[in-house]
Amino acid sequence: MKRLLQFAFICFCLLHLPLAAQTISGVISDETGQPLIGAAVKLQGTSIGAATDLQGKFSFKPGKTGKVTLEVSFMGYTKEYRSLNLVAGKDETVNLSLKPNVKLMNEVVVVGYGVQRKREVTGSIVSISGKDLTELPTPSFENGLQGKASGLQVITGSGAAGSSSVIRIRGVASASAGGDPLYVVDGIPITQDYFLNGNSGGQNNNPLASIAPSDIESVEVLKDAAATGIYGSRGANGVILITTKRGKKKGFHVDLSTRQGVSTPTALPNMMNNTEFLQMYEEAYVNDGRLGVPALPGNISWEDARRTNTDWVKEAIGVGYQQNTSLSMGKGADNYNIFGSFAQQNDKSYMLGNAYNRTSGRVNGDYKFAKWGKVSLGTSLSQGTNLLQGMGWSGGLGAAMSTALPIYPIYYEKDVLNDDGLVIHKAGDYFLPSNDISRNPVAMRELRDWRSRETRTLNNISLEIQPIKDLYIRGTGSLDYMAWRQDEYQKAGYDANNPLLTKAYRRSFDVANFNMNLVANYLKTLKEKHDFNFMLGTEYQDSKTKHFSSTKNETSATGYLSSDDPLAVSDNNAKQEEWNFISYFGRVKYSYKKRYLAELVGRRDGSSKFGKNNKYGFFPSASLGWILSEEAFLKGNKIISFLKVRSSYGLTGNSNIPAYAQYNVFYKKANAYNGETIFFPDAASPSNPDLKWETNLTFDAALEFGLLNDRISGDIGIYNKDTRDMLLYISAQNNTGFTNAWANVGKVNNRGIEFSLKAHIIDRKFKWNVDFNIARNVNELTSLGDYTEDAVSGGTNDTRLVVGRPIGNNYLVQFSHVDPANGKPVYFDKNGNETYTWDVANRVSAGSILPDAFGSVKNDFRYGPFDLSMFWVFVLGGDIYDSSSKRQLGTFDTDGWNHRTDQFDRWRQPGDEAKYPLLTTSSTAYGSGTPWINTTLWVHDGTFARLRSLSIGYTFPAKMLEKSKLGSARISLVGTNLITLTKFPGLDPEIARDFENATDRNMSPNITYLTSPQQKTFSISVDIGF
Amino acid sequence: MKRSKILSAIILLSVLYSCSKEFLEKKPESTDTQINSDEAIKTAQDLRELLNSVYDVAANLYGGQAQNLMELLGDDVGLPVSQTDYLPVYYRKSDIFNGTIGGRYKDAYLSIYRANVLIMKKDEVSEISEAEKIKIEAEARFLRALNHHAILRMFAQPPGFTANNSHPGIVMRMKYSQDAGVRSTLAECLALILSDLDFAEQNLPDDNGAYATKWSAKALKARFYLDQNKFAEAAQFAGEVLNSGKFALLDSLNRFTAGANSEQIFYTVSTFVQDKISDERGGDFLRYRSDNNDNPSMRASEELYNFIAFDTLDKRKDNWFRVIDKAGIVTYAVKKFDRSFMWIPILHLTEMKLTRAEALAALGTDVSTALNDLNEIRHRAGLDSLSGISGVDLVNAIRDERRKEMCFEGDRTMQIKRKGVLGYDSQSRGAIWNCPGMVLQFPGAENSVIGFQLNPTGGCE
Repeated sequence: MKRLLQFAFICFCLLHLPLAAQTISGVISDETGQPLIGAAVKLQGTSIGAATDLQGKFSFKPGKTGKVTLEVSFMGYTKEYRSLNLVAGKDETVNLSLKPNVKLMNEVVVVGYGVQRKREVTGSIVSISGKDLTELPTPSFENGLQGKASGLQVITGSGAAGSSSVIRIRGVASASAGGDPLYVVDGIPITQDYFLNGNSGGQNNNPLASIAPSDIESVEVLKDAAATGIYGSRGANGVILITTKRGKKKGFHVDLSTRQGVSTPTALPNMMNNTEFLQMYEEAYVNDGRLGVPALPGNISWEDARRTNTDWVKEAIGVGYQQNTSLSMGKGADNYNIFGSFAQQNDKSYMLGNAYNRTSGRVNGDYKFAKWGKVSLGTSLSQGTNLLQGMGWSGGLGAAMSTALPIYPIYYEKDVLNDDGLVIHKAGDYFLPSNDISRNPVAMRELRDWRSRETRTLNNISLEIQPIKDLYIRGTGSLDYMAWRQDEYQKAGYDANNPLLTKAYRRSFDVANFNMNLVANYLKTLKEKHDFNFMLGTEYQDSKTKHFSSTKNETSATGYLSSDDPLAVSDNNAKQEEWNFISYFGRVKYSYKKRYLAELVGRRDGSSKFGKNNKYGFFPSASLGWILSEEAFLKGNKIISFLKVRSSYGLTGNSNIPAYAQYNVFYKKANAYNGETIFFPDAASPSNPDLKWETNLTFDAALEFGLLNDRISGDIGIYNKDTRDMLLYISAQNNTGFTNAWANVGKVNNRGIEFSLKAHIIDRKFKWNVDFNIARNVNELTSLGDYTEDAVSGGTNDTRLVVGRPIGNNYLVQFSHVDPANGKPVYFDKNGNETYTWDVANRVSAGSILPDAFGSVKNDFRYGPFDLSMFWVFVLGGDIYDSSSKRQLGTFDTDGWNHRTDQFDRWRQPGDEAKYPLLTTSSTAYGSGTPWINTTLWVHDGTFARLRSLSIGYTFPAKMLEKSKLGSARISLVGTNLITLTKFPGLDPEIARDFENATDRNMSPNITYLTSPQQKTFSISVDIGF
Repeated sequence: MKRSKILSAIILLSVLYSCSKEFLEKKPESTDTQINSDEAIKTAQDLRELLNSVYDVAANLYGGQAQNLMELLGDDVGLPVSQTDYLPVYYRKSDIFNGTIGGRYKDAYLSIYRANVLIMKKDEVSEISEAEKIKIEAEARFLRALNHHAILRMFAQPPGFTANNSHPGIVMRMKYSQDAGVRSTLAECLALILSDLDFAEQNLPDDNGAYATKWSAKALKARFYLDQNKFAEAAQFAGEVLNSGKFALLDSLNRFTAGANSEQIFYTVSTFVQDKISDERGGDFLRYRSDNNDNPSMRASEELYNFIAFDTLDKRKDNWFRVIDKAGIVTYAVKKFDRSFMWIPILHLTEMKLTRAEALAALGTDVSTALNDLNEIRHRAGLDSLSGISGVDLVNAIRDERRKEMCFEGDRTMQIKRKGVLGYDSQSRGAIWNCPGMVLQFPGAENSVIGFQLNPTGGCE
C-alpha cells in the first residue's frame, strides 16, 4: 500500500505544473468547498481553457486580451460564468464554487442489459449510490439498502458478524421458491445460496458478505414487470443490479477511507440468577403437589446451587470491534480508464468468538481500441472468513439465554468421584452437566475452533463494437467462482462422553457460475420526433456446484483438517449439481417528442430446472409513460418542474428452486442391513415432469413529480401482483412414502402503495434536506389447491399458509387469560369458547409476518464544512413471534432452561391477576401433553422506530487543504441503532432467526428464537482523496 | 483486428451455444451410490437390494420406538423422564407435532412404499427366475402386512371397537401411488392385511436366513387373529408354528440376545464388522438402561413391579428390574435390555405359546395344552405349575402371565384393548380402553390434504 501511495504522489507532482505570466488560474470547488476534479474551464465560445486538477486547480494562458467570459462546467452542476477584462502581462485568479444541478431527472440509471435516462424510464426503478451504502457500518452491503427505497424491506438477521438480511421487494410472492430478489453484479446473476450449510450452528451463510461495499458505484432496485421483465423467469421477486466503480474522472485519483468502531448489543436478556431460579423452580414443584426436595437439573445439590451464580450472558458477550479500510485508485483518459481497489474489513461482534473478516481487491478497466470498439474488463477477488460460534439454539449467547443455568459453575470446583472412588472430573475441568456441552457456552467456545471461509472471484470481460452508425453489439463472458470451506475442530473434552476424542470436520462447496451474453442495441431517430431503441439479446448461464465433506475422528487431530489428510474419511455426501438457463430477449423503446414513451419487453427462458413437459417459458411486458411537464400547458410552470405518469403490465417468473427438484433418484448403501447392500428410492420428493416456474402478473402505475425547480421531488405508485402456479415444497402425506413433494400450486396476491419524497427544505449556506419514503403492502394467499394449513410450514415456527391470510402467518392456539381462581392458562377453542385444553385442532391464523407499512426518514443538515445526518427507519404493524418464550417463560423442566424475569408476573394464589400462569413442572397443568406450546401469548406487535444512524461530519474546506497534499478530507462520527422505540418485550424488534430452508425464510422472517440482538455501534471514519 | 472479423467471431460464438433441447437436460449424476430412478432397477441383484431396504426401515420401526410408543399408552411403564415426545403419549394427548410418532409412522410407510416400488418394478427385471420373483414379492408383501398391522395397532381403535369394524382404520397403500391417502375402515384394513399375509404364507420359503419365512407369516397371523379375539384361527396358526419343530423355548429369560436364538421367528439383525458395531438395531430399548445411566428415561410402573414381585419365587423380578432409591423417591428401572448390542425378536415363540394357550383356554377345546403352554412359561420364571383350573380362571392366569412375560415389548396395550372389547372393565392407568387418547395422533403431514380424518385428541382424563 505504501508503494501505491508513493506512486500516487508522483503522479500528483507531475500534474502540478508551474504557472507562467499572463495566466488565468484558480480553484473550482463544489458547494461544500470540496475541489471539483476535471471541471472544464474555458473562454466562452472558444476551445481555449483547461480542466481542473486533483485539487480543483486550473491554469491556462488565454492568449488574448480584452473582455472575455470564463465558463466553468461540471457534470451534474449548474454552469457558472465570470466576466474578466484581460490585460497583457497581468495574471487573473478566479475561484468559483459550483452548485449542484438539482434537476435529478437527467440522471442515468442502470437497467437490465443497458442504461436509460431516468426521465424516460417507464418501469419502477430506484437508484441508490454507493456512497449511500457505505454511510454506516453494516454487516454486509445489502443491509445498507435498508430504508433507501420504498417497498424494499430489509430485515437485518441478527447481531452476528457478516449476518445476512432478509430482503423482500413488494411483499412476499413465493412460499418455497427463493423469495429474495435476483442479484446481478456488473451483468452477472451471481450465486446466492443461503443454505450451503443449512442452519448449522444456528445461522445461515451469507452469500453476499464477500462483496466489498466500497467497490459499489450504484445499486438499482428494479421493482415492477417493466423493469424486471427482461430477467424473465427470474424477475418475479425484483432485481437488484449492482454496478461496481470504474475510473471515471480525468486524471489520476486516490481515495482512502478508514473506519474504526466498537459495538455492543442493542438489548440484554433478563435471565434469572440462581436465587430467583431456585425459588421459582421450587414453587413449580410445590404447585404440582409433589413431595420431597426437587432434584435439580444436572444433578446439582441444592447446597452447590445456592452457592453458584454464573452470569452466562456476561460470559458470552464483550465489546465488539469493527474496522474497515479501503483504498482505491482510478485513472481516466479519452480512450481508457482504470480502477483498482483494495479493502479490508474486520468485524468482531459483541459475541465472543464471532467475527467476520474480509479482504478484497478489484480491478476494472475499459479500453477504446478504435472509434468503433471497446473492451472492458472487471475482476475481483475476495476472501471472507467467518469465525463462528454456536448461536441461537446452538450455543453461545443463545445457550446463555436457555440451557446454561445460573446454578452451573463454569468449572468444577473440586474433584468429582464416582461410586468406586475414581476421579471422573478434576477440579478446574469444564463443568458439563449431563455430559452436555451445550449447557456450558464457555466450554463450547474454548473447546472448538470453527470457521467458514469463502473465497470468491467475479470476473467479466466484454467486447463492444459499433459495426455501423447507431448499432452497438456487446458480447460478455463472465465467471463467478466461489470456494466455500467450513472447518470445525473439536478439541479433547468437547465430546464429554468420549473425552479423549478430537474431531475435525470439513464441508466444502465449489460453485462455478458461468455466464455468456450477446446484446445488440440499435438507436434510430426518425424525423427528429420518433426515437427508437431496439435491443435484442441472448444469454446462456450454467452453474455447477460440487459438494463434499470429510471427517477425521481420532485422538491426535490437532487442528483443522487439511484437504490431503490421509486419515480424513469422506462421508459419502459428495454430490454435484448443475443447472442452466438459455434465454432470448428483446426490448423496443419508443419515444415521441421525448414525452410520450412506450416500451415492450419479452424474454424466453429455458432451464434445466423445469420439468420435461415445461422446458421453456415466455415472459412479456409492456409499459407506457407520459412526461406531462414537456407539454405546452405545463412547460415553464413555476411550481411544477417535472411531471410524469407511467404504467406497466407484464409477466415475470420465479424459478429459484433446487437444480434437481423434478427428479427422483435411488441410493445404494453397502453394509446396511444384515451386512448386505440396500438400494432404495429417495423419499425426499417424487419426480415431477410438469414442474415449472411460478408466474407473476404485475400491474404498476406511478406518478413522478418535481416541484419548484425540482427542490421537491418524489413519486407515488401503486401495484398489483398476482402470483399463480406458486412453487410449493409440500409436506407430503407420509403414507405416500415421501416426506415432501414439489408442485406448482396456489395463488397469492400482493398489492400496495409506495410513496417517496425528497426535499431541499433550506438551500442556503445552511442546508436541510429530507428524504422520506413509506410503503404499504397487502398480501393474501388466494388459493392452496387441495391442501390444508398443514401442507406447508415454516420450519419449527408454526407459520403456515392459510387461504385468505398473508403468506406465512402464525398458526396458533389462542391464549385468553390466566384464570385468577386456579392460575391455569385459559385458551379459546375454534368457536371462541374458553377452555383449559390446549388442542392443535383449535389453531387459528394469528399474527402476520409482514408489517402493515414500513419506511424511513432521513434528515441531512449542512452548515459550511459541518454536516449532521439522522436516519430513522420504522415499521408499522406486523407481528413478532417470540418463539423461545414458550420455554423461557413456560414450564420448569427437569432438563432445564433458564427463565426470564418477566415470569415473576405469575399466578401464585387464588385471586391473582397475573400475566403468566402458575409455575409448574408438568405441561398437563397447562392443558397440554406437549411441554412447550405455541400460543398467541408469544405474539407481539412488531411496530418499531429505530435511529438507524446518527452521523456528524466535518469536511475540510479546499482552502485548508491547499498546503497539504490532500485533495479532499472528511472526518465523521457515526452511531448506529442508537435508539429503538418499541413495545416488543423481547430483545430486538428487528430480528429474524436462522432458517431451515427457503420456505422457512419466506414464511418466518418475524420469528426470534434466542436470536442475538443487533449490534449498536459507534465509529469514527476518515475519508481522504489525493 | 478488423471490425468484420470481430463481428463474425461474435456470430460464431452465438451459434455455438444456440438452442438445443438436450442442452437443458441436467440430471443428477449417476454414481456408484446414486442412480437415476428411471434406470435404477435392472437386475435380480437390484431387486434383492431393494428388498433388503424394505427390511432395513422395518427394522428401524422395531428398534424400540414402536414398542415404546405402545407401552406408553399402557400401564406397565412409569412417567418417562426428559422425553418430550414420550410425555404426551404417556398423558394420552399426543398431537400432530410429535416427532417420534411422526418418525415411526414414516418408517412404516417408507417400508411399504419401497415394497410397492419393488412390486411395481419387479416385472422390468429380466434374468430372474419366476420362483425367485414370487419369493421376493412374498417377502415384500409380508413386510407390507407387518407395517400396516403395526400402524393399525397404534393409530386405530381395535377390532371390535365398533360392531362391524366400520370405524376408521388407517391408509392402506397396496400399490405405488402419490394420490392422497384416505383412511379405510378397520374391516377393510384387516381384509387387505390378510390378503398380503395369505400370499406371504403360501409363497415364503421354509428357511430364509435372517429374513421372513412362512413361519413368520403364520406367527403374524396368530397375532393378527388374537387381536380380533378370533381364538380358533389364533390357536391354529400359533399351533402350526409351535408344531413346526423349527423353534424351541429358551431356558434363559433373555430372548434379547446378541445373535440368533431358538425363539426368534421374525427379528431384526444387528451386525458387527471387524469387531465394531456397524449396524445396531434396537437402540431405543436403551432408554430403559440403568446399568450405565442413573437417570433412565423409561422405567417400569410401580403397579407392574408389585404385580411381578408379588410371587417371591418369580425370577423375572430380579432378572428384569432394579429398584432405584433416590433420596427416598423409589422408582423401578428395567434390566431386560441391559446390553449394548442385540437382535430384537418381533415375533417369538413365547408369544406363540401364550397366544395358543389363551386361545385354547378361551375356546375350552384343549385345556390341557393350554395349561401345558402356560406352565412351560411359568417354570422358566421359577414358578410352580398351575393345575386344576379352567375356564375364565385359566384364561385370566394366562393373561396375567402374558403381561409379566412380555412386558415392555409393546404388547400390553393391545391386551388391555382386547379385554375391553370382550366386555371387561379394562383400563390403563385410569383411562378406559377405548378413550380417544388410547390411540396415537397422526403426524401433521397426513393432514396436509383436505379430507384426511385425524384422530380426536385427548379425552382420556
